[in-house]
Amino acid sequence: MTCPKCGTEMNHQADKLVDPVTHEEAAAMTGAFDGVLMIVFACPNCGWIDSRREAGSHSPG
Amino acid sequence: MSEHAAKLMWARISQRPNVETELIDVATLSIPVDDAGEAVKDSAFAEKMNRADALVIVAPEYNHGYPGLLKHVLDTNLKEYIHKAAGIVGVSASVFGGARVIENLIPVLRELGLVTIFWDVNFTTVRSRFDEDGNLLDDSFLDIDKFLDELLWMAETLRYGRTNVTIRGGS
Repeated sequence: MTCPKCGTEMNHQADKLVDPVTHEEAAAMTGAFDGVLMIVFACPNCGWIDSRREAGSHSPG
Repeated sequence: MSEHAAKLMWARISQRPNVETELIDVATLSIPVDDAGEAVKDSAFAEKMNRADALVIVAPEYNHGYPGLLKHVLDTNLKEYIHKAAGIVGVSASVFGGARVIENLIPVLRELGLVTIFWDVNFTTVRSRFDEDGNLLDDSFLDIDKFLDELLWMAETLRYGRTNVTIRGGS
């Protein structure tokens, strides 16, 4: 992902399981630990944070 | 009374070198209450959270919990908080100094992606701590320097991590 503030390539710093916010995201949930992943990026130049969402899963240990 | 505590914390943070800080009173934010979460995000507040490396949350304790308005405001952001430092300042009229509001806030902050430090500040018996003008009358048991030392270490370390360390499997 490119920083919307300064154009620098951002660092992928976190994947976080989050709640669905649309009917489409909710419909994609198939089990207790499936859901939506928030893929979080930080800009190494200006520190700006951005994210995108995608379907994902979390395997309980 | 927690406003006096918040202003004192802001003043002490402002004295630290190379630190830019801002005091935000959640009561002044125009966030609707007919919905919740990112649906009622305030763009100006979100931009401040995005720029911040750390949060100091000054929380009065009511009935062992945190104010609903504080939770409502915190819930309006998420990505902006991820891997950022947070310290909690508890304020109460009792001798517990907001210990229970701090314990109740920690799991909330964790789920928001914030990284809580292990130092707290506890404003015990707050009604006798400040005069009417907000001047601190009694600084006993307030180890603000230790709290800020740890918070700033965590903030600097996490900023490096956010911008330089890629999550395993990341792209």
